[in-house]
Amino acid sequence: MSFMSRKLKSSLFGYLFIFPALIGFLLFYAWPAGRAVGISFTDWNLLSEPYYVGLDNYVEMLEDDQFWNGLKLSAYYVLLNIPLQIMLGLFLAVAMDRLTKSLFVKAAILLPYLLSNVLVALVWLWMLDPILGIVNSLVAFFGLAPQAYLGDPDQALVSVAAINIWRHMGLCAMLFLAGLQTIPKYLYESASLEGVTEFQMFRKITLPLLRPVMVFVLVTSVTGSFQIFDTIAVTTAGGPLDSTRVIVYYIVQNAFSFYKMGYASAMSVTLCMIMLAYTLLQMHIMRASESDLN
Amino acid sequence: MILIKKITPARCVAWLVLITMLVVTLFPLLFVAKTSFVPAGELYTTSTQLLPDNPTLSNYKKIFGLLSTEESIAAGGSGANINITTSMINSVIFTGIIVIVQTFNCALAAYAFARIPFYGSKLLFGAFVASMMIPSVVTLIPNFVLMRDLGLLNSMLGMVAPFFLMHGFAVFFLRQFFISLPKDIEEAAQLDGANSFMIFFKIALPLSWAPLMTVATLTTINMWNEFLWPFLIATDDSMKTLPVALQSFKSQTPQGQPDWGGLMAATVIATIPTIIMLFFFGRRIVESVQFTGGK
Amino acid sequence: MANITLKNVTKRFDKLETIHGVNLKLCDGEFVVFVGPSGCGKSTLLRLIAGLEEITEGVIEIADKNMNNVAPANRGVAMVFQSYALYPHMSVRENMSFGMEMRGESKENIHTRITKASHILQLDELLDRKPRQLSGGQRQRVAIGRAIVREPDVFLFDEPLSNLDAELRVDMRIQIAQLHAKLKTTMIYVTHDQVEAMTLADKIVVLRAGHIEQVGSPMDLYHNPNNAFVAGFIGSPKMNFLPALISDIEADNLVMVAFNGQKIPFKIQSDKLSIGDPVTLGFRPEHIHLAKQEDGFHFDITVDVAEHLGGISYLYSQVEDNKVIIEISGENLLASGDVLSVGIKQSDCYLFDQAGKTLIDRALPNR
Repeated sequence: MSFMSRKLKSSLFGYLFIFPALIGFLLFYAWPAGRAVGISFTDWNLLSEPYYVGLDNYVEMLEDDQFWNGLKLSAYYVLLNIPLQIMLGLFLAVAMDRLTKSLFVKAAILLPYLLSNVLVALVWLWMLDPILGIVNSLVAFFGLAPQAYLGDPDQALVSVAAINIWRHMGLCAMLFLAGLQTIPKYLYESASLEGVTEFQMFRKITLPLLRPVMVFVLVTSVTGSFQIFDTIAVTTAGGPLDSTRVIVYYIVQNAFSFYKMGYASAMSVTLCMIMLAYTLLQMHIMRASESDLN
Repeated sequence: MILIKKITPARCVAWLVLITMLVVTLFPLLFVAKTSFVPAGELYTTSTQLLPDNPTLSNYKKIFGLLSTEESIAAGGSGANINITTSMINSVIFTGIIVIVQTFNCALAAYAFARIPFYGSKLLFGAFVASMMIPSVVTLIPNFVLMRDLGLLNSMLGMVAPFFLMHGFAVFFLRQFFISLPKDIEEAAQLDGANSFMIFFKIALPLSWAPLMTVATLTTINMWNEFLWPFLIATDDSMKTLPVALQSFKSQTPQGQPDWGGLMAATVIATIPTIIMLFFFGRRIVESVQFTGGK
Repeated sequence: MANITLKNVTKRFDKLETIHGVNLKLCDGEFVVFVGPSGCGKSTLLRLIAGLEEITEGVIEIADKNMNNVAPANRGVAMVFQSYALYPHMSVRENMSFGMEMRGESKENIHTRITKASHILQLDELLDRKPRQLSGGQRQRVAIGRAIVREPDVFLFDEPLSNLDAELRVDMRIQIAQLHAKLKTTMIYVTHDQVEAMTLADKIVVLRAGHIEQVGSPMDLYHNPNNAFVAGFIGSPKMNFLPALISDIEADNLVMVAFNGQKIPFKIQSDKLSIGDPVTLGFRPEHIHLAKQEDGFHFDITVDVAEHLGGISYLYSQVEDNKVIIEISGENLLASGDVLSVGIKQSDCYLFDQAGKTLIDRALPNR
């Protein structure tokens, strides 16, 4: 009895404390997530009443080449983006860990990440402008032919990937650097006493001990990149010739340009499932939560 | 093991690469800054130069609305408009409301999850954390419909609504911190007659400045840069935040070249707050960003 | 008057029971020490009394009022934590006034009490400092000051000296004893250090694994431990234990105990022993003499390590396969490898059965 009364009293306090956040969670996460599933079973253009169509949207989706193309482009974008971004970030982190503790260098490396996607897209839109852009001037300087970059269906997605590598490699570097600094220096000292080379140290000590950071970077950057939207909305708007109409762009377009709310919801629910499956798989494979340190 | 840093070939290469990366990072921004001072007519002739021949402020005057439409078009404008002052103010209000309210709400919730035993606490905490995994595009449509039904399109409340009450990461992060606070300090306060609210406000919060600032810093970065939601909600120029205003400024030139001078001037203006933040809070920003990966 | 009564107090964390039906009565004004090895439940018991943990079964009464559902702040207790638990962001003065402010005491009242307490504890100079600017001993005094200004019915101390260095620990121990003499308030003090228990307590409560092993005055426990555990826990260095046998049983519970080929009669409190039963012979290091004693056991020891502390020496020695510690006062030149013949008086011996329960009732000495 006394146990009940005290737990009840602290429960009252608990719910008072979480009340605003709980409202936020229910109103803007839990309910909409459920509602998205509900909408995905309807035909709805926002103006008329939603009309229940069962699994029609999902069937339509599976037969929609644009949907598959969007998924393919997003996956392709991830493959273009992530390996290079992680490699460059890791390289930068190792270099900074060895060479300098300068806050200026860190801040400068991180700066692109602090700018919005829109700003970064504008900067590179200018840099990559086929006629006025400095990149083509440099290309010409080396005696190569100027390219269209974002205007070329074969190059647009690669260009978008390059832009985001530029924006995110500093973030990657900072995360890896933080990870590197948790590795005790004596490991390297005892390794060097045993005559282990720098490259072996990197492979046998640094990389394995960076695993938790690596998982975090992989999971967040892969799920993040798969949902690429902002840069494309500013630079190519899905073009040229649909060559950058990635899945999220296609979803937003369906929802807010074609007003096909049900269809867009069906695709977004599917996307959510894909992301969830990927995250769980990745965590499972890399034993995410375990660290070999401490 | 203190070694005198030897100049080895490996170190030279590493320095060379680091400097190259720095140049690659900073050069585009400097180049944008240069362009913003180039008069419209000289864009082509100066495209490979590092400094403009005849620097001008007309691009800046244009985006701050200091030129009439005719003058603006004469200065290479497309006739498109960007009200950079308004959108800057919108961005500050948008980010400010979210950072303050969200951090406070999340601190309250995180404290409860860390310290107050209540029915359903584990389940709800799990749900809060899981909310981080939902792609924003999933909740986008229902949230938009909700805002429309509530008549909150083109309103500040509608813009901050999905963000300002709760954020899974902030709750998770702050809970980890509150758990690590020494419990007997709070027990001492309990014996001193403080209830949960007093312990939170008088003991836990004052001891949590560093993590609160970390969360606030990260939220500031994310919200200052948030594009898609304000883009959907703020269709009216007077409500647009900076990223939205920049995007629409860019896309208001359906035919031919955009107004590069104006666009680059706007880009520079939009970059300045970030640089100022970085200048004053560089260490905190770098460390906050690093915190996200460290759990 | 702040008597404290625990009736069948039981604490379970989930399924795990850590306090098993404890019954205890503490009188007003007593200095009570809960002592026992780590994990024995002494801190849990203190936290149950404070109300920081909730009891699973039983009743806790303070000043004859049932406290089971009374919030910690309203039990009339003040607590000094092992870590001091000072509010890091508040000055010494704010640390002390916080509780009174929470209770809505008047400004003047707060001021008078702080002045009084800081005078008693010599904190006057430190009132505007933050905890991080204080030494360990000063923090400890502030923690005590914070308890004093509450003017509680009961002071609770949770291992308050364990974070201090040896010298300061003795110093603070004396200050706490003086404080008790001055305030005459009930104090409950938790420690694993039997020296603190012996020097401070009016009443010692020895705990082991969530049970009370014995309650009594320090001298009571020293002379008349209920069992081998209490005997071994109270006293420093530890009591020595050697195996012996019951060799004869005579009338009136008089038995002959055989050890090292000698037989000595003991009057025991049990009639359940039979000839040949093993028993444990206990004797304290300070009761061993370097000469054969009339009416007692004697045996040879080999010194392993000799520690000479000046006025006193400890000989860590062996009797066959058993370790024995011997305390000798006065200077000597004994060293490792020496073989000595030592003796103990019958009256200094303790006797325990196989379960560790005491077999003899030793009268307190009349000195």
